[in-house]
Amino acid sequence: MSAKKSLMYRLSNVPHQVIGALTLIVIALPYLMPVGIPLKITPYSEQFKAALDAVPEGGNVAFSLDSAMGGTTETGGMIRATIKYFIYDRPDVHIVMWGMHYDCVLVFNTFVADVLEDADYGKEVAWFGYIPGTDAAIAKLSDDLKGILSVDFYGTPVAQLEIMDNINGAPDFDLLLSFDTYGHADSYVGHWYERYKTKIAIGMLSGSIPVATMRFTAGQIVGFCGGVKGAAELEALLKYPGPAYTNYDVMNVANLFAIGLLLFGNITYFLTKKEER
Amino acid sequence: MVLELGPLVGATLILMLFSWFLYKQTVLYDIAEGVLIGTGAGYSFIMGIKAVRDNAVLPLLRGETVWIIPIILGFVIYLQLSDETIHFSRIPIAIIIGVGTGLSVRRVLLAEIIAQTRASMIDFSALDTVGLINSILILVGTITTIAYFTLSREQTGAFGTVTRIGRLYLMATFGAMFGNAIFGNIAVVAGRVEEILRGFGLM
Repeated sequence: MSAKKSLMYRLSNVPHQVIGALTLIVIALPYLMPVGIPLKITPYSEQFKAALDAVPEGGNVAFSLDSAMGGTTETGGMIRATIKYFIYDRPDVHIVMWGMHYDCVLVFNTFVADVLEDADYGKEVAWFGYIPGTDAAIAKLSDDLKGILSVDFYGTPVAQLEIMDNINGAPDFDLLLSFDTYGHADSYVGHWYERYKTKIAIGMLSGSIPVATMRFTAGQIVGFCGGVKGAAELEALLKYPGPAYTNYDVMNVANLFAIGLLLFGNITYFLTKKEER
Repeated sequence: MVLELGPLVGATLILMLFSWFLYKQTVLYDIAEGVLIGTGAGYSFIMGIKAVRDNAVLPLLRGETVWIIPIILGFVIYLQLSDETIHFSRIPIAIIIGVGTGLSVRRVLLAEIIAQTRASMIDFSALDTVGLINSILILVGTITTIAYFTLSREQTGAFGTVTRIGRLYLMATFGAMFGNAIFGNIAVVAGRVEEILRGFGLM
């Protein structure tokens, strides 16, 4: 008969189903009962907002929806706050939108479409949908935008869109915004910034923050907004509270739980190592 | 409480997928997985067809005859389905790889090598105290990390100390990236939990 195992040993061998269920409960609770953890605005988010503010009156902004739907827990809030800022606070700015990820149509319908109902389509804003070709397409867009964007998402020829009259490539944009979960922003930096010095600001997943910091330090981008926290900060700065602030609450609680699990796993491992042998 | 069909179906499918790690692989999980793969493939197919129509077929029909070339090359790729014609399919694939490589080389040289090298050349005299400390950390990190990948010399003695510092920088970087990736994945799960709660009208 095997020796009786200690409580610590049994705790260190909790079935993954229990940990999974606990994780879901911990994540669900702040959605049902918001904690309201205070939000501290970081200089990076302020720089991102400054980049939006720096677009001159009547300027042109390229808005690239490069997020997969799975990543919109992090990027959705920043997309929605940014498009609301331009449509409601800066109606003078022209917005040309497309996406390099094929989920962009879903992302557009979820976070952007209803806001654009308040804009003059064809004059203030245009939507071109999914552009295939990733790196090659991004390079071509920078040189000869109309060589790729011949019709908008709804099939209207580009010649009939007033907003496109004076836009032919990267030099005609005052800012490019890429909300990215797949590394397309790197292609924009390579083809739009390095060749034409187009100002670029990136919204991305928290996992991409180290690379974005490197690009920001090198002056390749004028701002970045990373993860749920960055999105919540941007919503607060732009004064358009949305899904990110709720998610920020959830992420704080969930992250503390994850850190707790990591500590618990390591402590029980070392305490029960002898017993394991 | 009014339940909408779309979110309700979405929430149910997410729960069916979660059954895999909350219990075990069940028929519910298999069904949800099949639905996910099927709809994903169907959606990608439609997006691909729309892209070809908007970017090549419509311009061709408007008289821009140059688009006949990529359309033909696109069809030639399908010749790899037969052993007798597979060699023709290598032509468009070679073009895709050639163009992709050419563009990547230019991009990587400009954005990753030249720009990053230039960014690590810092004017220390123009910095405040915090900027100076950060810049010294960047300089030390750049030199020691490059030293770590110098494999033509044994990493012992003083050189070994330098490469150990480089290894610490690498470990700190990987740790930060791993931490960010973990939290990113938690965000994905959080998004699905939110969809479940919304789907069942709980928030």
